[in-house]
Amino acid sequence: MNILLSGTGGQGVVLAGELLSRALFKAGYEVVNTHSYGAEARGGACRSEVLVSDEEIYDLSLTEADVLIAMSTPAYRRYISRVRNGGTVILDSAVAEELERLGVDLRSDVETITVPARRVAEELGYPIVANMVLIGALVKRSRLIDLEVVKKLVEEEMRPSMREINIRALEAGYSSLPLKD
Amino acid sequence: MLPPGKHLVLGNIACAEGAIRAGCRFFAGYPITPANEITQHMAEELPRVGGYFLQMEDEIASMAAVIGASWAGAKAMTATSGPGFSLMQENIGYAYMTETPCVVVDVQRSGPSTGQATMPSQQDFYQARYGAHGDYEAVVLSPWSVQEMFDLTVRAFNLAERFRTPVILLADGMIGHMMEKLVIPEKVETVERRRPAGASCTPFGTEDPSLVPEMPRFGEGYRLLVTGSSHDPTGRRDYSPRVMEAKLRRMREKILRAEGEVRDIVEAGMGDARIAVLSYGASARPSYGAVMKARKEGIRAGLMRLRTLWPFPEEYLSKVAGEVEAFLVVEMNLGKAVREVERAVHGRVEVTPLTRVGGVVPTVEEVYQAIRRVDECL
Repeated sequence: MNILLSGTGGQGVVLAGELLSRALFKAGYEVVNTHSYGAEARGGACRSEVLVSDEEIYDLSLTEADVLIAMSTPAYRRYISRVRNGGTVILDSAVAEELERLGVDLRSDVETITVPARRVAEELGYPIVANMVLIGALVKRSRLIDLEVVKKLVEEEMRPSMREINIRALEAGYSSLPLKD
Repeated sequence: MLPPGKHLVLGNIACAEGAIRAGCRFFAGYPITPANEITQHMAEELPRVGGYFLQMEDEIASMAAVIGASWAGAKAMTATSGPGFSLMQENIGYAYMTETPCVVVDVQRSGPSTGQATMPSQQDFYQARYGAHGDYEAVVLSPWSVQEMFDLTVRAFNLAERFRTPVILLADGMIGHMMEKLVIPEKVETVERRRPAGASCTPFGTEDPSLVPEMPRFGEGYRLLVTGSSHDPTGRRDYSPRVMEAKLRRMREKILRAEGEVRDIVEAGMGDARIAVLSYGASARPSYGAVMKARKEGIRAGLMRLRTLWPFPEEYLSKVAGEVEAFLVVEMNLGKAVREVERAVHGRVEVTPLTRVGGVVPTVEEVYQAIRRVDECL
Protein backbone atom coordinates (compact mmCIF):
# COMPACT_ATOMS: atom_id res chain seq x y z
CA MET A 1 0.00 0.00 0.00
CA ASN A 2 1.24 3.47 -0.91
CA ILE A 3 0.31 6.32 1.40
CA LEU A 4 0.94 9.93 0.44
CA LEU A 5 0.75 12.50 3.22
CA SER A 6 0.72 16.11 2.11
CA GLY A 7 0.32 19.57 3.50
CA THR A 8 2.12 22.80 4.09
CA GLY A 9 5.51 23.01 5.81
CA GLY A 10 4.98 23.36 9.56
CA GLN A 11 1.87 21.18 9.75
CA GLY A 12 3.82 18.11 10.83
CA VAL A 13 3.54 16.13 7.60
CA VAL A 14 7.07 14.73 7.79
CA LEU A 15 6.70 13.85 11.48
CA ALA A 16 3.37 12.13 10.84
CA GLY A 17 4.86 10.13 7.96
CA GLU A 18 7.79 9.10 10.12
CA LEU A 19 5.61 8.05 13.04
CA LEU A 20 3.31 6.08 10.75
CA SER A 21 6.35 4.41 9.13
CA ARG A 22 7.82 3.46 12.51
CA ALA A 23 4.50 1.99 13.62
CA LEU A 24 4.14 -0.06 10.41
CA PHE A 25 7.76 -1.19 10.72
CA LYS A 26 7.17 -2.24 14.31
CA ALA A 27 4.16 -4.23 13.19
CA GLY A 28 6.44 -6.22 10.88
CA TYR A 29 5.89 -4.60 7.48
CA GLU A 30 8.59 -3.66 5.03
CA VAL A 31 8.56 0.13 4.89
CA VAL A 32 10.20 2.77 2.73
CA ASN A 33 9.62 6.36 3.81
CA THR A 34 10.78 9.41 1.89
CA HIS A 35 9.84 13.02 2.25
CA SER A 36 10.34 16.32 0.52
CA TYR A 37 9.80 19.89 1.50
CA GLY A 38 10.36 23.28 0.00
CA ALA A 39 13.48 25.33 0.71
CA GLU A 40 11.32 27.65 2.83
CA ALA A 41 10.82 24.82 5.41
CA ARG A 42 7.63 26.48 6.70
CA GLY A 43 4.85 27.52 4.38
CA GLY A 44 6.00 25.59 1.30
CA ALA A 45 4.61 22.39 -0.15
CA CYS A 46 5.47 19.35 1.86
CA ARG A 47 4.92 15.63 1.41
CA SER A 48 5.83 12.30 2.92
CA GLU A 49 5.58 9.02 1.01
CA VAL A 50 5.07 5.82 2.96
CA LEU A 51 5.42 2.61 0.97
CA VAL A 52 4.24 -0.46 2.88
CA SER A 53 4.46 -4.09 1.83
CA ASP A 54 4.68 -7.65 3.09
CA GLU A 55 7.61 -8.13 0.71
CA GLU A 56 10.83 -6.29 -0.08
CA ILE A 57 10.15 -2.98 -1.84
CA TYR A 58 11.83 -2.34 -5.18
CA ASP A 59 9.75 0.51 -6.58
CA LEU A 60 11.13 3.48 -4.67
CA SER A 61 8.98 6.14 -6.26
CA LEU A 62 5.33 6.44 -5.46
CA THR A 63 3.61 6.68 -8.83
CA GLU A 64 0.08 5.91 -7.64
CA ALA A 65 -1.17 6.49 -4.11
CA ASP A 66 -3.70 4.14 -2.53
CA VAL A 67 -4.32 6.72 0.15
CA LEU A 68 -3.81 10.48 0.08
CA ILE A 69 -3.95 12.56 3.23
CA ALA A 70 -4.29 16.25 2.43
CA MET A 71 -3.86 18.78 5.23
CA SER A 72 -4.07 21.87 3.04
CA THR A 73 -5.90 22.98 -0.07
CA PRO A 74 -2.74 23.56 -2.15
CA ALA A 75 -1.55 20.07 -1.18
CA TYR A 76 -4.88 18.56 -2.25
CA ARG A 77 -4.72 20.29 -5.61
CA ARG A 78 -1.13 19.28 -6.14
CA TYR A 79 -1.48 15.60 -5.32
CA ILE A 80 -5.07 14.57 -6.02
CA SER A 81 -4.13 13.36 -9.52
CA ARG A 82 -1.67 10.89 -7.98
CA VAL A 83 -4.41 8.88 -6.26
CA ARG A 84 -5.25 5.66 -8.05
CA ASN A 85 -8.71 4.94 -9.35
CA GLY A 86 -10.65 3.49 -6.40
CA GLY A 87 -8.22 4.92 -3.86
CA THR A 88 -9.00 6.83 -0.70
CA VAL A 89 -8.56 10.51 0.11
CA ILE A 90 -8.59 11.64 3.72
CA LEU A 91 -9.21 15.36 3.95
CA ASP A 92 -9.25 17.79 6.79
CA SER A 93 -12.86 19.06 6.88
CA ALA A 94 -11.53 22.60 6.71
CA VAL A 95 -9.87 21.74 3.40
CA ALA A 96 -13.06 20.12 2.11
CA GLU A 97 -15.03 23.25 3.01
CA GLU A 98 -12.53 25.48 1.30
CA LEU A 99 -12.60 23.31 -1.84
CA GLU A 100 -16.38 23.59 -1.86
CA ARG A 101 -16.19 27.34 -1.51
CA LEU A 102 -13.75 27.47 -4.39
CA GLY A 103 -16.09 25.31 -6.47
CA VAL A 104 -13.57 22.48 -6.87
CA ASP A 105 -15.28 19.22 -7.83
CA LEU A 106 -14.05 16.22 -5.86
CA ARG A 107 -12.97 13.19 -7.89
CA SER A 108 -15.84 10.74 -8.21
CA ASP A 109 -13.63 7.69 -8.79
CA VAL A 110 -12.04 7.87 -5.34
CA GLU A 111 -13.53 7.65 -1.89
CA THR A 112 -13.24 10.96 -0.06
CA ILE A 113 -13.41 10.94 3.73
CA THR A 114 -13.42 14.13 5.72
CA VAL A 115 -12.06 14.35 9.26
CA PRO A 116 -12.42 17.54 11.32
CA ALA A 117 -8.75 17.40 12.22
CA ARG A 118 -8.04 21.09 12.54
CA ARG A 119 -11.17 21.68 14.62
CA VAL A 120 -10.52 18.74 16.94
CA ALA A 121 -6.91 19.84 17.40
CA GLU A 122 -8.02 23.36 18.23
CA GLU A 123 -10.52 21.99 20.73
CA LEU A 124 -7.70 20.06 22.33
CA GLY A 125 -5.87 23.35 22.59
CA TYR A 126 -3.03 22.39 20.24
CA PRO A 127 -3.63 23.14 16.54
CA ILE A 128 -0.34 21.41 15.69
CA VAL A 129 -1.72 17.96 16.51
CA ALA A 130 -4.13 17.99 13.54
CA ASN A 131 -1.65 15.63 11.86
CA MET A 132 -2.18 13.06 14.62
CA VAL A 133 -5.97 13.29 14.25
CA LEU A 134 -5.57 12.37 10.58
CA ILE A 135 -3.16 9.53 11.41
CA GLY A 136 -5.76 8.20 13.87
CA ALA A 137 -8.35 8.23 11.10
CA LEU A 138 -5.96 6.55 8.67
CA VAL A 139 -5.15 3.80 11.16
CA LYS A 140 -8.86 3.09 11.58
CA ARG A 141 -9.55 3.07 7.86
CA SER A 142 -6.48 1.23 6.55
CA ARG A 143 -6.63 -1.46 9.24
CA LEU A 144 -2.92 -2.13 8.68
CA ILE A 145 -2.02 -1.69 12.33
CA ASP A 146 -3.49 -1.40 15.78
CA LEU A 147 -3.81 2.10 17.20
CA GLU A 148 -2.04 0.84 20.34
CA VAL A 149 1.20 0.42 18.35
CA VAL A 150 1.11 4.09 17.36
CA LYS A 151 0.21 5.24 20.86
CA LYS A 152 3.08 3.24 22.30
CA LEU A 153 5.49 4.88 19.88
CA VAL A 154 4.27 8.32 20.89
CA GLU A 155 4.89 7.37 24.50
CA GLU A 156 8.38 6.10 23.73
CA GLU A 157 9.59 8.77 21.34
CA MET A 158 7.89 12.08 21.98
CA ARG A 159 8.91 14.48 24.67
CA PRO A 160 6.88 13.93 27.85
CA SER A 161 4.98 17.21 27.72
CA MET A 162 3.54 16.36 24.29
CA ARG A 163 2.70 12.69 24.79
CA GLU A 164 -0.78 12.95 26.22
CA ILE A 165 -2.03 15.54 23.77
CA ASN A 166 -0.78 13.54 20.78
CA ILE A 167 -2.41 10.38 22.10
CA ARG A 168 -5.68 12.20 22.61
CA ALA A 169 -5.46 13.52 19.04
CA LEU A 170 -4.82 10.01 17.70
CA GLU A 171 -7.79 8.65 19.63
CA ALA A 172 -10.06 11.47 18.49
CA GLY A 173 -9.18 10.81 14.86
CA TYR A 174 -9.60 7.07 15.31
CA SER A 175 -13.06 7.37 16.82
CA SER A 176 -14.19 9.97 14.27
CA LEU A 177 -14.69 7.22 11.69
CA PRO A 178 -16.95 4.19 11.87
CA LEU A 179 -15.33 0.77 11.41
CA LYS A 180 -15.64 -0.27 7.79
CA ASP A 181 -16.17 -3.92 6.78
CA MET B 1 25.00 5.02 18.62
CA LEU B 2 22.14 2.70 17.80
CA PRO B 3 22.27 -0.69 19.51
CA PRO B 4 22.70 -3.87 17.45
CA GLY B 5 19.41 -5.10 16.00
CA LYS B 6 16.67 -3.94 13.66
CA HIS B 7 16.02 -0.23 13.09
CA LEU B 8 14.06 1.99 10.74
CA VAL B 9 16.50 4.75 9.84
CA LEU B 10 17.61 7.13 7.10
CA GLY B 11 20.32 5.88 4.76
CA ASN B 12 22.52 8.76 5.90
CA ILE B 13 22.22 7.68 9.53
CA ALA B 14 23.08 4.11 8.52
CA CYS B 15 26.22 5.46 6.82
CA ALA B 16 27.33 7.33 9.95
CA GLU B 17 26.60 4.32 12.15
CA GLY B 18 28.65 2.10 9.83
CA ALA B 19 31.53 4.57 9.85
CA ILE B 20 31.80 4.66 13.63
CA ARG B 21 31.67 0.87 13.82
CA ALA B 22 34.37 0.63 11.17
CA GLY B 23 36.57 2.65 13.52
CA CYS B 24 36.10 6.17 12.14
CA ARG B 25 37.13 8.63 14.83
CA PHE B 26 37.48 11.82 12.83
CA PHE B 27 34.99 13.63 10.66
CA ALA B 28 35.39 17.03 9.04
CA GLY B 29 32.66 18.41 6.85
CA TYR B 30 30.58 21.26 5.61
CA PRO B 31 26.78 20.98 5.48
CA ILE B 32 25.04 20.23 2.21
CA THR B 33 21.76 18.61 1.20
CA PRO B 34 21.26 15.67 0.85
CA ALA B 35 24.25 14.59 2.97
CA ASN B 36 23.51 16.64 6.11
CA GLU B 37 22.30 13.83 8.33
CA ILE B 38 25.67 12.08 8.04
CA THR B 39 27.42 15.23 9.24
CA GLN B 40 24.84 15.83 11.96
CA HIS B 41 24.95 12.26 13.26
CA MET B 42 28.74 12.26 13.32
CA ALA B 43 28.68 15.56 15.24
CA GLU B 44 26.40 13.96 17.82
CA GLU B 45 28.03 10.56 18.08
CA LEU B 46 31.78 10.96 17.54
CA PRO B 47 32.47 12.83 20.81
CA ARG B 48 30.70 10.01 22.67
CA VAL B 49 33.22 7.44 21.41
CA GLY B 50 36.28 9.61 21.91
CA GLY B 51 36.34 10.87 18.33
CA TYR B 52 36.55 14.35 16.84
CA PHE B 53 34.07 16.26 14.76
CA LEU B 54 35.01 19.45 12.96
CA GLN B 55 32.78 21.67 10.93
CA MET B 56 35.13 23.40 8.52
CA GLU B 57 34.76 26.62 6.56
CA ASP B 58 34.23 24.72 3.30
CA GLU B 59 34.72 21.40 1.55
CA ILE B 60 38.31 22.16 0.50
CA ALA B 61 39.30 22.54 4.14
CA SER B 62 37.20 19.52 5.14
CA MET B 63 39.15 17.25 2.85
CA ALA B 64 42.45 18.74 4.03
CA ALA B 65 41.50 18.09 7.66
CA VAL B 66 40.58 14.50 6.84
CA ILE B 67 44.00 13.92 5.27
CA GLY B 68 45.75 15.44 8.28
CA ALA B 69 43.76 13.31 10.69
CA SER B 70 44.59 10.16 8.74
CA TRP B 71 48.32 10.93 9.00
CA ALA B 72 47.82 11.49 12.71
CA GLY B 73 46.62 7.88 12.81
CA ALA B 74 42.83 8.21 12.73
CA LYS B 75 40.34 6.59 10.42
CA ALA B 76 38.83 9.69 8.89
CA MET B 77 35.89 10.60 6.72
CA THR B 78 33.94 13.42 5.15
CA ALA B 79 30.54 13.53 3.47
CA THR B 80 29.15 15.86 0.86
CA SER B 81 27.15 16.13 -2.34
CA GLY B 82 27.93 17.22 -5.93
CA PRO B 83 28.94 20.87 -5.45
CA GLY B 84 31.01 20.05 -2.37
CA PHE B 85 32.49 16.99 -4.07
CA SER B 86 33.72 19.28 -6.86
CA LEU B 87 35.47 21.50 -4.31
CA MET B 88 37.10 18.51 -2.63
CA GLN B 89 38.75 17.22 -5.79
CA GLU B 90 42.05 19.07 -5.41
CA ASN B 91 42.66 17.58 -2.01
CA ILE B 92 41.30 14.18 -3.02
CA GLY B 93 44.11 14.27 -5.57
CA TYR B 94 46.50 15.09 -2.74
CA ALA B 95 45.18 12.05 -0.86
CA TYR B 96 45.86 9.80 -3.86
CA MET B 97 49.36 11.20 -4.28
CA THR B 98 50.20 10.83 -0.60
CA GLU B 99 48.43 7.43 -0.39
CA THR B 100 46.26 8.57 2.47
CA PRO B 101 43.53 6.19 3.60
CA CYS B 102 40.21 8.01 4.04
CA VAL B 103 36.57 7.76 3.07
CA VAL B 104 34.70 10.37 1.07
CA VAL B 105 30.93 10.02 0.87
CA ASP B 106 29.19 11.70 -2.05
CA VAL B 107 25.41 11.58 -1.65
CA GLN B 108 24.71 12.50 -5.25
CA ARG B 109 22.14 15.12 -6.10
CA SER B 110 20.89 16.35 -9.43
CA GLY B 111 23.28 18.74 -11.19
CA PRO B 112 25.33 20.29 -12.68
CA SER B 113 25.85 23.18 -10.28
CA THR B 114 23.15 23.82 -7.67
CA GLY B 115 20.80 21.81 -9.88
CA GLN B 116 18.01 20.19 -7.89
CA ALA B 117 19.51 20.33 -4.43
CA THR B 118 17.12 17.92 -2.74
CA MET B 119 16.76 15.45 -5.58
CA PRO B 120 18.81 12.36 -6.39
CA SER B 121 21.01 11.50 -9.35
CA GLN B 122 23.87 9.23 -10.38
CA GLN B 123 25.63 11.92 -12.36
CA ASP B 124 28.95 11.81 -10.48
CA PHE B 125 29.87 8.37 -11.84
CA TYR B 126 32.88 9.79 -13.66
CA GLN B 127 33.67 12.54 -11.19
CA ALA B 128 34.19 9.87 -8.56
CA ARG B 129 36.68 8.22 -10.90
CA TYR B 130 38.35 11.10 -12.70
CA GLY B 131 37.53 14.14 -10.54
CA ALA B 132 41.12 14.90 -9.56
CA HIS B 133 43.81 15.56 -12.12
CA GLY B 134 46.68 13.21 -12.75
CA ASP B 135 46.83 9.42 -12.92
CA TYR B 136 45.41 7.21 -10.21
CA GLU B 137 43.05 4.30 -9.69
CA ALA B 138 39.86 5.10 -7.80
CA VAL B 139 37.94 2.71 -5.58
CA VAL B 140 34.26 3.63 -5.66
CA LEU B 141 31.38 1.77 -3.99
CA SER B 142 27.65 2.10 -4.64
CA PRO B 143 24.93 1.16 -2.10
CA TRP B 144 21.35 0.33 -3.18
CA SER B 145 19.67 0.28 0.24
CA VAL B 146 19.84 1.70 3.73
CA GLN B 147 21.45 -1.57 4.81
CA GLU B 148 24.18 -1.15 2.23
CA MET B 149 24.77 2.44 3.33
CA PHE B 150 25.96 0.77 6.52
CA ASP B 151 27.67 -2.29 5.03
CA LEU B 152 29.51 -0.49 2.23
CA THR B 153 30.66 2.31 4.52
CA VAL B 154 32.35 -0.36 6.64
CA ARG B 155 33.81 -1.89 3.49
CA ALA B 156 34.97 1.54 2.28
CA PHE B 157 37.02 2.00 5.46
CA ASN B 158 38.45 -1.49 5.21
CA LEU B 159 39.50 -1.02 1.59
CA ALA B 160 40.94 2.43 2.36
CA GLU B 161 43.05 0.99 5.17
CA ARG B 162 44.12 -2.03 3.18
CA PHE B 163 45.18 -0.17 0.04
CA ARG B 164 46.16 3.13 1.66
CA THR B 165 43.98 5.07 -0.69
CA PRO B 166 40.90 7.29 -0.60
CA VAL B 167 37.70 5.29 -1.11
CA ILE B 168 34.58 7.00 -2.42
CA LEU B 169 31.16 5.87 -1.25
CA LEU B 170 29.01 7.04 -4.15
CA ALA B 171 25.54 7.10 -2.65
CA ASP B 172 22.58 9.08 -3.94
CA GLY B 173 19.92 11.35 -2.48
CA MET B 174 17.30 8.66 -2.79
CA ILE B 175 19.09 6.11 -0.63
CA GLY B 176 20.54 8.75 1.71
CA HIS B 177 17.19 10.37 2.38
CA MET B 178 15.10 7.23 2.60
CA MET B 179 14.06 5.44 5.78
CA GLU B 180 14.02 1.67 5.66
CA LYS B 181 15.21 -1.36 7.55
CA LEU B 182 18.75 -1.50 8.90
CA VAL B 183 20.05 -4.51 10.79
CA ILE B 184 23.11 -3.61 12.84
CA PRO B 185 25.26 -6.66 13.60
CA GLU B 186 26.83 -7.32 17.00
CA LYS B 187 30.26 -6.89 15.50
CA VAL B 188 31.73 -5.75 12.19
CA GLU B 189 34.99 -6.89 10.70
CA THR B 190 37.55 -4.12 10.50
CA VAL B 191 40.92 -3.75 8.79
CA GLU B 192 43.83 -1.65 10.07
CA ARG B 193 46.56 -0.08 7.93
CA ARG B 194 50.03 -1.65 7.92
CA ARG B 195 52.21 0.17 10.39
CA PRO B 196 55.99 0.14 10.54
CA ALA B 197 57.59 -1.86 13.34
CA GLY B 198 61.28 -1.41 12.54
CA ALA B 199 63.64 1.44 13.37
CA SER B 200 63.09 3.09 10.01
CA CYS B 201 60.56 2.86 7.22
CA THR B 202 59.90 3.92 3.65
CA PRO B 203 56.35 5.25 3.74
CA PHE B 204 56.13 5.58 -0.04
CA GLY B 205 57.80 2.43 -1.24
CA THR B 206 57.69 -1.25 -0.41
CA GLU B 207 58.99 -4.67 -1.35
CA ASP B 208 55.72 -6.17 -0.17
CA PRO B 209 53.79 -7.99 -2.92
CA SER B 210 50.70 -5.97 -2.01
CA LEU B 211 52.61 -2.88 -3.20
CA VAL B 212 51.05 -1.04 -0.23
CA PRO B 213 53.75 0.63 1.90
CA GLU B 214 53.65 0.77 5.68
CA MET B 215 52.18 3.97 7.05
CA PRO B 216 53.66 5.64 10.12
CA ARG B 217 51.87 8.44 11.87
CA PHE B 218 53.12 11.82 12.86
CA GLY B 219 54.62 11.93 16.32
CA GLU B 220 55.68 8.29 16.43
CA GLY B 221 59.34 9.11 15.96
CA TYR B 222 59.78 8.21 12.31
CA ARG B 223 61.27 10.77 9.99
CA LEU B 224 58.18 11.57 7.98
CA LEU B 225 57.79 13.81 4.96
CA VAL B 226 54.42 14.01 3.24
CA THR B 227 54.14 15.97 0.02
CA GLY B 228 51.88 16.16 -2.99
CA SER B 229 54.93 16.70 -5.16
CA SER B 230 56.75 13.80 -6.76
CA HIS B 231 58.66 11.91 -4.07
CA ASP B 232 60.90 8.92 -3.64
CA PRO B 233 60.06 5.98 -1.33
CA THR B 234 61.33 7.88 1.71
CA GLY B 235 59.03 10.82 0.96
CA ARG B 236 61.77 13.18 -0.21
CA ARG B 237 60.88 15.40 -3.14
CA ASP B 238 62.29 14.02 -6.36
CA TYR B 239 61.17 15.26 -9.75
CA SER B 240 63.07 12.73 -11.82
CA PRO B 241 60.96 10.91 -14.44
CA ARG B 242 62.08 7.52 -13.12
CA VAL B 243 60.87 8.20 -9.58
CA MET B 244 57.51 9.63 -10.58
CA GLU B 245 56.84 6.89 -13.10
CA ALA B 246 57.65 4.17 -10.58
CA LYS B 247 55.39 5.82 -8.01
CA LEU B 248 52.41 6.18 -10.36
CA ARG B 249 52.76 2.67 -11.75
CA ARG B 250 52.96 1.15 -8.27
CA MET B 251 49.96 3.17 -7.06
CA ARG B 252 47.96 1.96 -10.05
CA GLU B 253 49.13 -1.62 -9.75
CA LYS B 254 48.34 -1.94 -6.03
CA ILE B 255 44.65 -1.45 -6.88
CA LEU B 256 44.46 -3.27 -10.21
CA ARG B 257 46.28 -6.30 -8.83
CA ALA B 258 43.45 -6.73 -6.34
CA GLU B 259 40.60 -5.93 -8.73
CA GLY B 260 39.20 -9.43 -8.39
CA GLU B 261 38.81 -8.95 -4.63
CA VAL B 262 37.55 -5.38 -4.79
CA ARG B 263 35.05 -6.45 -7.45
CA ASP B 264 31.59 -6.74 -5.95
CA ILE B 265 28.74 -7.70 -8.26
CA VAL B 266 25.43 -9.06 -7.06
CA GLU B 267 23.67 -11.13 -9.67
CA ALA B 268 20.05 -12.24 -9.93
CA GLY B 269 18.73 -14.54 -12.62
CA MET B 270 21.94 -14.34 -14.67
CA GLY B 271 22.24 -18.14 -14.99
CA ASP B 272 20.01 -18.41 -18.05
CA ALA B 273 19.80 -14.73 -19.01
CA ARG B 274 19.71 -13.56 -22.62
CA ILE B 275 19.38 -9.94 -21.48
CA ALA B 276 21.77 -8.65 -18.82
CA VAL B 277 20.38 -5.61 -17.01
CA LEU B 278 23.24 -3.68 -15.42
CA SER B 279 22.57 -1.08 -12.76
CA TYR B 280 23.81 0.27 -9.43
CA GLY B 281 22.59 2.33 -6.47
CA ALA B 282 18.98 3.50 -6.35
CA SER B 283 18.28 2.65 -9.99
CA ALA B 284 19.17 -0.98 -9.30
CA ARG B 285 16.11 -1.29 -7.05
CA PRO B 286 13.48 -0.89 -9.78
CA SER B 287 15.82 -2.80 -12.11
CA TYR B 288 15.62 -5.79 -9.78
CA GLY B 289 11.83 -5.52 -9.59
CA ALA B 290 11.64 -5.28 -13.38
CA VAL B 291 13.91 -8.27 -13.96
CA MET B 292 11.78 -10.39 -11.61
CA LYS B 293 8.62 -9.25 -13.40
CA ALA B 294 10.14 -9.99 -16.82
CA ARG B 295 11.20 -13.46 -15.69
CA LYS B 296 7.64 -14.16 -14.54
CA GLU B 297 6.52 -13.20 -18.04
CA GLY B 298 8.98 -15.69 -19.52
CA ILE B 299 11.61 -13.16 -20.61
CA ARG B 300 15.09 -14.44 -19.80
CA ALA B 301 16.51 -11.34 -18.16
CA GLY B 302 19.02 -11.15 -15.33
CA LEU B 303 20.40 -8.38 -13.15
CA MET B 304 24.03 -7.49 -12.57
CA ARG B 305 24.21 -4.96 -9.79
CA LEU B 306 27.56 -3.28 -9.31
CA ARG B 307 28.40 -2.58 -5.69
CA THR B 308 31.94 -1.67 -6.70
CA LEU B 309 31.78 0.81 -9.58
CA TRP B 310 35.52 1.43 -9.87
CA PRO B 311 37.72 -0.32 -10.75
CA PHE B 312 35.12 -1.07 -13.41
CA PRO B 313 34.82 -4.86 -13.86
CA GLU B 314 35.82 -4.82 -17.54
CA GLU B 315 37.23 -8.32 -17.70
CA TYR B 316 34.17 -9.75 -15.98
CA LEU B 317 31.74 -7.97 -18.29
CA SER B 318 33.73 -9.06 -21.29
CA LYS B 319 33.13 -12.65 -20.18
CA VAL B 320 29.41 -12.02 -19.65
CA ALA B 321 29.21 -10.52 -23.14
CA GLY B 322 30.02 -13.97 -24.49
CA GLU B 323 27.09 -15.47 -22.58
CA VAL B 324 24.22 -13.00 -23.16
CA GLU B 325 22.66 -11.45 -26.23
CA ALA B 326 22.05 -7.92 -25.01
CA PHE B 327 22.83 -5.46 -22.23
CA LEU B 328 20.42 -2.92 -20.81
CA VAL B 329 22.14 -0.31 -18.62
CA VAL B 330 19.86 1.55 -16.20
CA GLU B 331 21.17 4.73 -14.56
CA MET B 332 20.09 8.15 -13.32
CA ASN B 333 22.21 10.26 -15.69
CA LEU B 334 22.41 10.73 -19.44
CA GLY B 335 24.60 7.66 -19.95
CA LYS B 336 27.85 7.08 -18.09
CA ALA B 337 28.29 3.48 -16.94
CA VAL B 338 26.87 2.51 -20.33
CA ARG B 339 30.06 3.82 -21.97
CA GLU B 340 32.17 1.58 -19.80
CA VAL B 341 29.93 -1.40 -20.62
CA GLU B 342 30.30 -0.64 -24.33
CA ARG B 343 34.06 -0.55 -23.93
CA ALA B 344 34.06 -3.87 -22.09
CA VAL B 345 31.82 -5.76 -24.52
CA HIS B 346 33.55 -4.22 -27.50
CA GLY B 347 30.65 -4.35 -29.94
CA ARG B 348 30.01 -8.06 -29.48
CA VAL B 349 26.44 -7.57 -28.18
CA GLU B 350 23.90 -4.76 -28.34
CA VAL B 351 24.10 -2.33 -25.40
CA THR B 352 20.99 -0.22 -24.72
CA PRO B 353 20.92 2.64 -22.20
CA LEU B 354 17.91 3.53 -20.07
CA THR B 355 18.69 6.97 -18.71
CA ARG B 356 16.70 9.20 -16.37
CA VAL B 357 17.57 12.70 -15.20
CA GLY B 358 15.58 15.45 -13.51
CA GLY B 359 15.79 14.06 -10.00
CA VAL B 360 13.67 10.94 -10.41
CA VAL B 361 14.32 7.25 -9.86
CA PRO B 362 13.02 5.06 -12.70
CA THR B 363 10.01 2.89 -11.86
CA VAL B 364 9.76 -0.89 -12.10
CA GLU B 365 7.30 -0.45 -14.98
CA GLU B 366 9.68 1.80 -16.93
CA VAL B 367 12.56 -0.65 -16.63
CA TYR B 368 10.25 -3.58 -17.41
CA GLN B 369 9.04 -1.91 -20.61
CA ALA B 370 12.65 -1.26 -21.62
CA ILE B 371 13.48 -4.95 -21.04
CA ARG B 372 10.50 -5.89 -23.22
CA ARG B 373 11.67 -3.62 -26.01
CA VAL B 374 15.14 -5.14 -25.90
CA ASP B 375 13.60 -8.63 -25.85
CA GLU B 376 11.47 -7.89 -28.93
CA CYS B 377 14.61 -6.97 -30.88
CA LEU B 378 16.41 -10.23 -30.08
